[in-house]
Amino acid sequence: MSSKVKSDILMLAKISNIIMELSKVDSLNTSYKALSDIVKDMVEIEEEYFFIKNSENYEEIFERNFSDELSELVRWSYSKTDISIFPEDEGSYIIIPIAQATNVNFVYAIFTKEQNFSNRFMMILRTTSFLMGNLFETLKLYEEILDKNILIEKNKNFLDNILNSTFDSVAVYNENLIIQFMNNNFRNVTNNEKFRKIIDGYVISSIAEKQNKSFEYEYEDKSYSFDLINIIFEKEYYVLVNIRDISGTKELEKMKKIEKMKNEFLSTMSHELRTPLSSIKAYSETLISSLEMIDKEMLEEFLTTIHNESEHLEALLNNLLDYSKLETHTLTIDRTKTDMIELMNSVIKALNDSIESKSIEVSVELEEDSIILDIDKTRIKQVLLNLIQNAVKYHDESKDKKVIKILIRTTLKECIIKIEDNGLGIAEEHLDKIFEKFYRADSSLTYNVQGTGIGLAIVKELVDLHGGSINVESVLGEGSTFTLTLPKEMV
Amino acid sequence: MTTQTSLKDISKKIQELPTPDFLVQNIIAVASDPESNTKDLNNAVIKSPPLSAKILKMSNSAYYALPRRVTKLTQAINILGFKTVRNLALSIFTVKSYFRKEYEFFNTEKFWKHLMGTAIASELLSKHLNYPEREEAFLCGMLHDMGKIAMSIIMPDIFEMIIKVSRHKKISFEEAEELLETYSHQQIGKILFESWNLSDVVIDSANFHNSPQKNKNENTRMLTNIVYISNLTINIIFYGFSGSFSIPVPNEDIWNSVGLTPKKYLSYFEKLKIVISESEDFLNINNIVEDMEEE
Repeated sequence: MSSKVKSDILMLAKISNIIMELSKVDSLNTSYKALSDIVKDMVEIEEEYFFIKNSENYEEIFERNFSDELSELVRWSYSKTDISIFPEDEGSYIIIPIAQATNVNFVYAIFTKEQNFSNRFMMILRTTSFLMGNLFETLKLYEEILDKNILIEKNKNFLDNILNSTFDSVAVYNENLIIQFMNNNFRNVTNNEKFRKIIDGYVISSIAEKQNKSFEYEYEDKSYSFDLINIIFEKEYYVLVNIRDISGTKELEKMKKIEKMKNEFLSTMSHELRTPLSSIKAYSETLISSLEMIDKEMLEEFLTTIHNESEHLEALLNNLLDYSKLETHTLTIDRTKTDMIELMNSVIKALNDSIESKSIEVSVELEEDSIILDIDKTRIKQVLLNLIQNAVKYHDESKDKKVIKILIRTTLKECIIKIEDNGLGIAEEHLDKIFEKFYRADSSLTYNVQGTGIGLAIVKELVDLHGGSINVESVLGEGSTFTLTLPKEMV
Repeated sequence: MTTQTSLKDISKKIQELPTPDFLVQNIIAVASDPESNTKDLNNAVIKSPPLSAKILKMSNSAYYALPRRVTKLTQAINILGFKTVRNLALSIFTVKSYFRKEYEFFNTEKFWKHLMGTAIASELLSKHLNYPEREEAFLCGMLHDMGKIAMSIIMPDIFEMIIKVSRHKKISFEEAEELLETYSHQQIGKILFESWNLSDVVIDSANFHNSPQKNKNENTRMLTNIVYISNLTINIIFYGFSGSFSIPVPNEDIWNSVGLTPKKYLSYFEKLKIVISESEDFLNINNIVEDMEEE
């Protein structure tokens, strides 16, 4: 082997060792020691210093003292950015700037007793300085990235915290329906598979239509507002889903509406009470003032009217009483064995006048001659009266043939009464509300038909008290069917 | 015109030109040998006291701006490095052997400024590009246009013609060479350094410094590119000093391949102007030439 080859191999081995040594460096701090170790491996060191430039001054990183002379050499090497050896009386200063391109990171300076240096030593120092310069720069960048990552993480946590603090459920879907982000509320809400499927369904249609959507949705006794907002971020398409539980707001709205209805009820009630009272007053006044002029026939007519109006007044007051019981939940029933069919017949009879006056044809269809139920006779009569009265009240003047069909039948456990009319009917949007207190499908202020709006509410309450149920089916303009179900056995 | 003189004749003429003597050859060898040490290089240089004196003088120039005055060659070797001392020795040899002749149409003092300017520019560019072989860049920059000097000696008529065409037509030296269909100073520089027995980096950067895209040798490509950009830049600062009167549009591929962004180049250019203005004595050929008559 030639001496040149031997020398080359030696050099490569040395540089390999240095690379090995440098590859162990994992932070700026360990890099100082690594550099020191590499140099100590080649030359005996008396003193060592690590200088960094701080504005115009040079500071020793480990706070070692140094001479002004050394400071001058360091200043020079900062601008030259190359290895230099300055001979002194009893040795040499070796100045090794650690730089990348024109940027000096720090200067490593050592004092050694040596004065004669090999070209190889200089070459290796240079390679070390070059590798170290690049490594140091990379480490600096790495530490900057780490710091930045911590900052990004902090910002992300901050935003997460904010999004988790909101009462809304927030999520972002991508075009493939994969959730890119969701806050805790959304996670909790969508623990319910069924609800999650409903949300997904709306997201799918929002993606398909590429349109924002805002609506309210009721699910399991709760009201939610849904907002689906289309987002385009860096050319990618996303849907932001914001779901808010508005049950509280809805409840409040409902209470406000009831409050309004109560007020309307009061004004209606006063009006309703005033009408019979006025006629009683008018007829009785006429009687008093013209007693001697009135014949028996007229007297009878007057007194009948007064009697009828008093009964009407009584009915209204009973209604009012029931209403107050309804409010205070003190409505009670008093059960006795009662024949349902007999009861029905008495109701129809009681309403006979108004039925005939409106030329309505009432038919009753029976499967049995008598059905004995354990019910509060007065209350169920009140229920039947109310239902049939309504059927009469809301008859359709435009129809040639006005009918009310009543069907009474029994099953093993229940008695079912259907009251079907071909009257005005009820619009779909009102159907589920007519059993609520004070609800009237028509505005109570434009009443074509008398009514306080509490009748059906009382009906429902009474039926419930009997352990039964009441339902309605209706088509606007065609008629309505009320189905009353009462249990045969007492619950 | 080239048809009249064959390449062989040209080569023969070039080989008759001065080559580094044993002393300089030995300095080059010692400076490149990893086994050598400060003393070995000191012994190689000290054999020529005038050379040693000139190296010391150049070491103390404002270009190096040493924090203390250098009085011994060993100090210069340790502070500036083996290869810088080699470069200074070669620069002194070059001036001594090739720059003693005066031309009416060609100012050698200015041309030397172009060469040393390119040397400084190449060293600085290596630093800015984080390329470790800065002394080699200095040497390649310093010698890249020596083909022109060789040309002026072996074919003075043609050389004069090229300079005149370049000046009057405001075209570059190499465009004038093409126009006149002559051998190029790049080719001549290549042959010259082959006969000087210099390394491939010097030969290739002389051969391709105007057309670096033609250099197929990967080992020398970076240095050739550095010299190419430094030469262009120095021609902007020292316009016309190289006998070239047009600055060609830089090759984009070369520019990108060395990783030179506009921001980096601007910072390099500003720094270079400062370094050049602070290195007047280093660029002045008279500082090397003086006292040479006595040798």
